[in-house]
Amino acid sequence: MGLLTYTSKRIILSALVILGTISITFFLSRVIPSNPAALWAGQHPTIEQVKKASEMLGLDKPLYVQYFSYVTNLMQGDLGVSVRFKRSVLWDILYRLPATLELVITSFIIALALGIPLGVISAVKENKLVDHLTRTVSIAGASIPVFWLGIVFKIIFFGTLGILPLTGRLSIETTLYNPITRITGFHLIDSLLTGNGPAFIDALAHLVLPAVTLAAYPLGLCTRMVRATMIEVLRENYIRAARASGVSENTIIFRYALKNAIVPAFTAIGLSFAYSITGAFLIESIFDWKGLGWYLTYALSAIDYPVIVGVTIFVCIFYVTINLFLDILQTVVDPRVKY
Amino acid sequence: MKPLLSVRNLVLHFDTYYGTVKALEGVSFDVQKEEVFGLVGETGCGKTVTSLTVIKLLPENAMIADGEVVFKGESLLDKSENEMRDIRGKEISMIFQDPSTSLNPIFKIKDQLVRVILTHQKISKQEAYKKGVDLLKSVGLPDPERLMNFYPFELSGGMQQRIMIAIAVSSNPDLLIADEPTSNLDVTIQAQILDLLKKCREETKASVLFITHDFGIVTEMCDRVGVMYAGNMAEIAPLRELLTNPLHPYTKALLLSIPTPSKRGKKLHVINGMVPDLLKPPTGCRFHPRCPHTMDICKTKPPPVTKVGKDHLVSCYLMENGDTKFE
Amino acid sequence: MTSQTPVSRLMGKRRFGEAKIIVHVLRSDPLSIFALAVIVLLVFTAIFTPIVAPSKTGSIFLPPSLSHPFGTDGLGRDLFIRVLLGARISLMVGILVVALSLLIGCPLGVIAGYFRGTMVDEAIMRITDMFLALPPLLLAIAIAATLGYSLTNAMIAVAISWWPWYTRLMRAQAASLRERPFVEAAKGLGVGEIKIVFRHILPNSLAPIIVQATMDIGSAILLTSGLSFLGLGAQPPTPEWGLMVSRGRSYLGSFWWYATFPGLAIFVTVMAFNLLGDGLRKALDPRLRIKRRLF
Repeated sequence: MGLLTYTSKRIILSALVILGTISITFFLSRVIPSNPAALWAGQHPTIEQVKKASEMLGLDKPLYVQYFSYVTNLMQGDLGVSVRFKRSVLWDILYRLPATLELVITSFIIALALGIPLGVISAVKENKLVDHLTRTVSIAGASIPVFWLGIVFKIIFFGTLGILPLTGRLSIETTLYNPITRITGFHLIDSLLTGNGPAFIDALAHLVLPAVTLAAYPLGLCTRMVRATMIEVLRENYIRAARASGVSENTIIFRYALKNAIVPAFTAIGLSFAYSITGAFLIESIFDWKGLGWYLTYALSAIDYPVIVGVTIFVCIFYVTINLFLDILQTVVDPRVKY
Repeated sequence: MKPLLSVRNLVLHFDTYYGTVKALEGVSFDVQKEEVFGLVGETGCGKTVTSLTVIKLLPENAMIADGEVVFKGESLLDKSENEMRDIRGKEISMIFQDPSTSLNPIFKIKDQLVRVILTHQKISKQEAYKKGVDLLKSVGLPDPERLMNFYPFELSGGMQQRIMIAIAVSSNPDLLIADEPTSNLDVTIQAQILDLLKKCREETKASVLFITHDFGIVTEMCDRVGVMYAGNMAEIAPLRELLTNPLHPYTKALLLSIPTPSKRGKKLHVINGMVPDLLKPPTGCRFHPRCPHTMDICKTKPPPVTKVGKDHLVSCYLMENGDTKFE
Repeated sequence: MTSQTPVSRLMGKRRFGEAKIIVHVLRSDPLSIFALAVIVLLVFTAIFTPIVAPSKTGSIFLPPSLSHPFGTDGLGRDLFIRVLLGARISLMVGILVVALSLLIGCPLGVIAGYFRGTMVDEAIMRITDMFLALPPLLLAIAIAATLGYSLTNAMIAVAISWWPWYTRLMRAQAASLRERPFVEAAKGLGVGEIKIVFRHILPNSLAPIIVQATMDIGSAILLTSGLSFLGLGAQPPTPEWGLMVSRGRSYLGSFWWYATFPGLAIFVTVMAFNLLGDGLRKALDPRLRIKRRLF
């Protein structure tokens, strides 16, 4: 099987998985005891208005018709319309997405930049004091409830030390005096692109706490994974043979062993990236970070079901795509994996 | 003549959760210049561990409790890790039993071969690459240029072992340690690899410490042989001498148990009992529980090494009345 | 060795010797001992607090003091007692969620792994993939939003999104064990397939499952408290830790203890389980049993 066939097979399978998810979410959402038509019709609607809204939303049609139209709409990229905001759900999602991505990507970079070296050191000095300390720290990282850590950080850094901002992505001053022109939606990138120095610093300051909080779990996970795989690899015969041929220890650890170790750790680390998306949702609610998670949390309290369903599906598709990407990447990076 | 490698009274222990494994109990032997010394014994008798001690590639829980290892007049046990790294691959090389796991699977041949060459020789990358190609050719590999870009798993066991040999001899070592290099290969390939090793040895004048459990290979390759049992060196002698005049009861039993056509139809000779548990080895001579000639003194302390004849060393109380003690 | 001894009994003998080594290794790892101690303490707390604890109240929002070690909450309830009560809830949550996931996931996984490559395997794996594709938190949110907000529903949600992991794990184990000689031997002796699956393969696959399950008890607590934090899980007045943290959130600046201590409890608990799981992994892996020096 060539790479192309393998990829197509995986794509089809992923599509089936997504379809299954959509179906499950759809039927779940239709069971929610809410009245979207009333919600749509606004405050204190009359029965007439509710009926009209119901018609417009297609709620009076039988369930399977609704399902069918929903799925076909989905194929065309139409995720429905938010009942409360009366805007396209997809549009809202895309508007909010960069905020979440900015958070997740930054935290992930922190996690990898710290986690991989820590994992390597831990493995090389296995069972020595350094290893025990690193192990404890990394397990701690994986055990801390992310919402609590955020709160604690807020108390320490804002409450007591007063050095970092409390919530939001930007301070009020910046939005008023140095507004960032939206190009990509990523405040850091946009402010750099437009040469908006003070806004960049402000955005960065706001990014620090949420990103570091979010990084705790992937950091712990990454350290442990890298440590585990490195230990395995360092035990292998080819490492011993390389040592027997006199190659320097640094080369053996950082060039040979690390590459061997990253490959299996890859999938796990990649999965934690997707997992971080959901962690980000919690963080967003604590730090008032207006990303996808914030959007979803609002929808949950208002029971705006197109939004709930829409975001769920979107995240699922994202998740599945990442999985797919990881699988394909692994076959490329590891020459031994046969497809 | 001063030996190339001289090992005296090597005592090695392993620290494990199950207790202390007394792997080597006073192993002594010499390897002369330009000779092939065979280290023979059953699995688990300590042959591999001895060779790993020579190049100091032991796991962390290993403790060299006593003994010395002298190579070209210098004590290896005193050397630092950095100094050892200079020696490994350049003056002493080692090839291992399973070639398929001894090569890094996600790096191409050229990456691994060239890097070793560059580690010990101060030449440019291109020169190293060219040397690599020449080396591959000299070990009998066809189309070496193409081979450089292959991954190890794409090659057969025989080819992998040839590459290992190429890497090992790339800097013309004085001593080549071969740890059962053919045990994982087909018999036909085995013969080829053995021929290759002979050829290498002739061309580079290197000595070979050849570890094996197969007496057939011993007869083909070795000049002198050391027989090990349960962490002890039982007997050392030139090949011919050992085969015609084995003195240690273990050696005798080993040779008797090799199936040959002349023994057809008769019951195979076996050595009664089992290899001892090295956590609690037998007192005195470690072979005494299985020896048909055990005496009381055998259970007290390990027998001294006795020199019999010109070049024949035996560690057995039966030889006590022999010639001068071994220094 | 007699040829009459049934295969599994031989394995049983080996396992007993193994058990002694496992305990020995665990005992020598200070972190594991610490973790075990914490967990024992927790279980103790869980069992005895509802029985012996006095229902102390004081004025609202008292800072930590001798009489109220964790302070009081917005209704004047002693936080220390509430946190201790929460231990029971969290432990139950952790154990039940993992038990449920195991119950669903393991048999499916063993069957899939043993019959690897067949339709049975494919079918099970496709379903598993479908559930695996859902990020646990999200599925939990969706289910909780549908079935209503309660701790039980949150637990069900987590279990539903978790069983696929065990299936995958078991499948890998079963698939590799299937190739081992003792399975062939059992088949040769005429042992039926079902019996092989459940009497031989299942027990031998347990090691990584035990490790994973131990750590998952912690993760389950983490996840369900997260759901409670969002309001999708436990509802007031349940003394659930995540819920308490979310309540305390509004009073961060002035009454920091309200949010801090319950969260600390979660942290310590989850960490204990993770440490124990990690120690178990070390103990159960024979290759990791080399004693090494500390420096």
